[in-house]
Amino acid sequence: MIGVMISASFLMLAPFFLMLTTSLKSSAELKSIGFSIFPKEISFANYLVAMQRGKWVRYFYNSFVITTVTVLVSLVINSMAGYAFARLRFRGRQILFISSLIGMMIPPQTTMIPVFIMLRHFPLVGGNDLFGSGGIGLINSYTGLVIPFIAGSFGVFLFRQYYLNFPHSLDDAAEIDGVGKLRCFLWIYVPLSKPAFATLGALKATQTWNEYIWPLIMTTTSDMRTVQLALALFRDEHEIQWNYLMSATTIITIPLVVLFLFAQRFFVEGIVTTGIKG
Amino acid sequence: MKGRILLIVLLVSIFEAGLVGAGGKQEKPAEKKEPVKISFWIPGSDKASEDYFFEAAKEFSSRTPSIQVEVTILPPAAPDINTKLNAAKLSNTYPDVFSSFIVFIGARGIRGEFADLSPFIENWADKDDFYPSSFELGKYKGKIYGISYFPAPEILVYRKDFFREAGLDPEKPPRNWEELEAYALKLVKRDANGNVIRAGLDVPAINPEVFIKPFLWQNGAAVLDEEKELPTLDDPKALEAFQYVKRLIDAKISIPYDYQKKSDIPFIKGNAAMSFIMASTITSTLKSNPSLREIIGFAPPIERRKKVPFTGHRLFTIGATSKYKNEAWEFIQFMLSKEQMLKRSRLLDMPIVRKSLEQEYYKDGDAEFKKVVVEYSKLGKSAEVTTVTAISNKYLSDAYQAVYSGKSSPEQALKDAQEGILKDIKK
Amino acid sequence: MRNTHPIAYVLILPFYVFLFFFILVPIGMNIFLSFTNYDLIQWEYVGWKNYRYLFQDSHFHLSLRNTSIYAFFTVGFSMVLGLGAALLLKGNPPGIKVFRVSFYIPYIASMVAVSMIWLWIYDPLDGIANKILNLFGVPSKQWLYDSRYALSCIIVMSVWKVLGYNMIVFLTGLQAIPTYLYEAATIDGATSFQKFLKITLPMLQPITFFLFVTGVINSFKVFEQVAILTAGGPSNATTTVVHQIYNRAFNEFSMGYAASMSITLLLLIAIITLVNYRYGNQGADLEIG
Repeated sequence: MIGVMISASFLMLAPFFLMLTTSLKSSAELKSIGFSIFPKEISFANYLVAMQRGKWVRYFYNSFVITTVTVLVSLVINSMAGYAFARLRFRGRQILFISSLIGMMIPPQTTMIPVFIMLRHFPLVGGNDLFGSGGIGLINSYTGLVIPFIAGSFGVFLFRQYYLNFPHSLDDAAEIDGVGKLRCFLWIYVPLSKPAFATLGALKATQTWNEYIWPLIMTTTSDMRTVQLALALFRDEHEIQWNYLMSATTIITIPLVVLFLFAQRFFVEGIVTTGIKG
Repeated sequence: MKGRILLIVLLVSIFEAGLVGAGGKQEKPAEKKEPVKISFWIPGSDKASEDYFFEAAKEFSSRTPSIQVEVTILPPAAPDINTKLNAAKLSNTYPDVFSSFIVFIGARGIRGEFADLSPFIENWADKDDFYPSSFELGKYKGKIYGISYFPAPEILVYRKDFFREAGLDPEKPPRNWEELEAYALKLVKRDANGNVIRAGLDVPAINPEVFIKPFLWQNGAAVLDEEKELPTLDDPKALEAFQYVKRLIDAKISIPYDYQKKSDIPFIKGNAAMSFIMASTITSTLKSNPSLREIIGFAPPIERRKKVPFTGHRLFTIGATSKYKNEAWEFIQFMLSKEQMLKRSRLLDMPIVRKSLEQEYYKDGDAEFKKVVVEYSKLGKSAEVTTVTAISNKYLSDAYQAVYSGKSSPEQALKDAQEGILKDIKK
Repeated sequence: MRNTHPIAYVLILPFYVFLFFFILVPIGMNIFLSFTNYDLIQWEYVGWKNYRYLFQDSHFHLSLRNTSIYAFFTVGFSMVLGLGAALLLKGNPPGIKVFRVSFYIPYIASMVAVSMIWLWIYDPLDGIANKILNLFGVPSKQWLYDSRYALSCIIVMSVWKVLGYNMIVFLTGLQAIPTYLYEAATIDGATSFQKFLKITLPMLQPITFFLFVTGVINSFKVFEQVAILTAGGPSNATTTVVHQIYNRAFNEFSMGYAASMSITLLLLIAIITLVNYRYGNQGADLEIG
């Protein structure tokens, strides 16, 4: 068993091993002919050099703000909708749910341009007048970077499937106590949903943190760059500075790894049963 | 209780999100008395060139306080640039000045995105100092959509040490198709299993348009009739060129690669003896690895019926929707001034395009390389400036790859491409 | 309908507002565009012409074929392996976190970075894939540059990348299975394989359904890997529907035609999803409706 686990994780991690060893190679070694897995001499200075190119504090701040806001807002609105679709009866539920799945089905490359035009003409912001002309709207703003991602059909679907698994006895108990549906959601379902919140939070954070195309078209100044856009600093037109690129890639992956380490204790926390007992 | 705290935390964060968003707003567009703000977009190249362009914009603004230039560096890859420009076009945020690749002149400029510069050029005292090609390249139906400031030819480079190893004279590079093929066959190195470990000549597997076109041109053929905007791949001379390239492919003298992934070219990695490589890629390779200079040679343009290498270009253009075209033109004039051009040639090894600078240009630096660049640039041909270039490139690339993988004969591949283009442009 | 809960509308409203503006309105725009020949400059109503050309467009046909193959294998492998990994790593013995992280890291890293690493692995000259083959005496392959292997290469990389995601979601699902079910089964003397068949699999159905649907949907949208690794080549062996949409819209500016592809893709995915929704076993859903 352990053997299977070790070899499986070795396979999974092998490509990253390449990433790490490359990030430690000196520029001279990378330019010399021939490829070796291990660096001839280890130069940790690459990490410093990479972070001194450009304004990384600013890029991290941008990515951090965008990711945090997107995750928090989408957790709230997705869990509410997921609960409604899983546990409440209302006219049009079926059709509303199915149409909400469309949000996952459409490739972002298709909606990108129409959304961009809409945000550009968002009224009363970015120098725009009431009719959405005159300025640049939400282009180059945090709001513009966040807003298209918070709908998240995916999250609604996840919460719905998750809540479908909850025993109906939970609702029955609440009904006997005379608790309304909204309170039932807030007091019973939400506290029991830590695994779902943690899962969606981690997935959503990953997606938002790694988004490339949308920040690319939405930002116009280097001060609004996200960490993913900033990686372009090491990809010149003619040459890729592999050691710096891989150093920076390692650094920008670390926050997500930390987040995952923090979140994973919820993934494996028994929930529903403890809920019934308590 | 816990639920309530969570809810409050979430509500606060939503509120904060709104605040942060509002904080990220832009200031209102410049009012009349303030300096005019023009935007300048340029595809990124490397740190040195980005620094130069920021510096130049600053210098211009300090000399002309009534015009402020805001520089935006775009990613270097064409698809990313297209995405960015599409968004800009549809939202009315197009740049005032844009440093364009030649492909964008056909794909975008002549479709109404760039302004006609001929009225500005006509009254420009300096215009006679420029090589005529600077204005010719961006010309379409009598209008000039861009001025070339940076020719970037694809130069045939070779490794002198590998030449010696193969018993070839390192001072006698191939001059024509026959020699190119014969040398490549001599230079290739294989391991015991017959795998190529050093290419005789780099022959790409993916994104081959820039590689294949010069062979068509050298044989007197072309992909398109640029006037009529129709494909001309049914020309026997095109077939002859394809058959030649098929011989190069079938000889198995190369390691497959993607022509557009500049850092992955086998020659750059030391795994090929000859290769067609963009001048600026050579410059950047030599800069980071100066010891290569002694072992790399530059061949003159390959000849068949004609000598026609591929030469890419960067051009200054003005957005058609720009409100500040006069200011934009002033900035372009500044960028094309002798002083700035010399600065670019010194700092960034960019070739010059003004006659009066020739002496100065050759005075320092790598004179041999500079002469080759100029020779290639003068003979070179660029991407076709038509509205159907993108589509015809796709089918040309398909035809090449079908031959490369052995799926079609050159006859069939070209026939498919010709028909495919005709059908597709009518859709 | 008896006993409805109007509060539901309040709960779904915020989500629906965003969905409406950022998904449904853009789709509406695309439906409109798909009946025009919009090319960023002008547009004219052309009726069903774009849709008719879809039947003649060999690039589109190839992309449909490639995308279906990709979806079939990527979803299949990543679900089976993901469930296996989740079962393997569901407990809480010390040190297991490290293993879980190792499965999840590929999913965390950005596609751009990951693709570049796999470009090295697949390098025809000194890539690791060939070095491993050579160890076993198998001659080198040209991987991404060989139209026979290129799509498989992309599938392998994608399975590797999404495996951890499937594992995490399966883990969440496994935790939601009430433990008393297993306890009862143990008392009845069930073997672990019986427990897996009779308890784990049925109880996982909502999650399996979720992963299957999202997996199929995401596979049909595959684009980034293709754009970075092969640009759709060699010989269009790896071009996908979204890659075609992207090329048509952003390189050739056939916005109207690209829109007709988008709408066709959307319909295709919607039909697959609906079939799943209707006939797929998705757990205890519909009887409460």
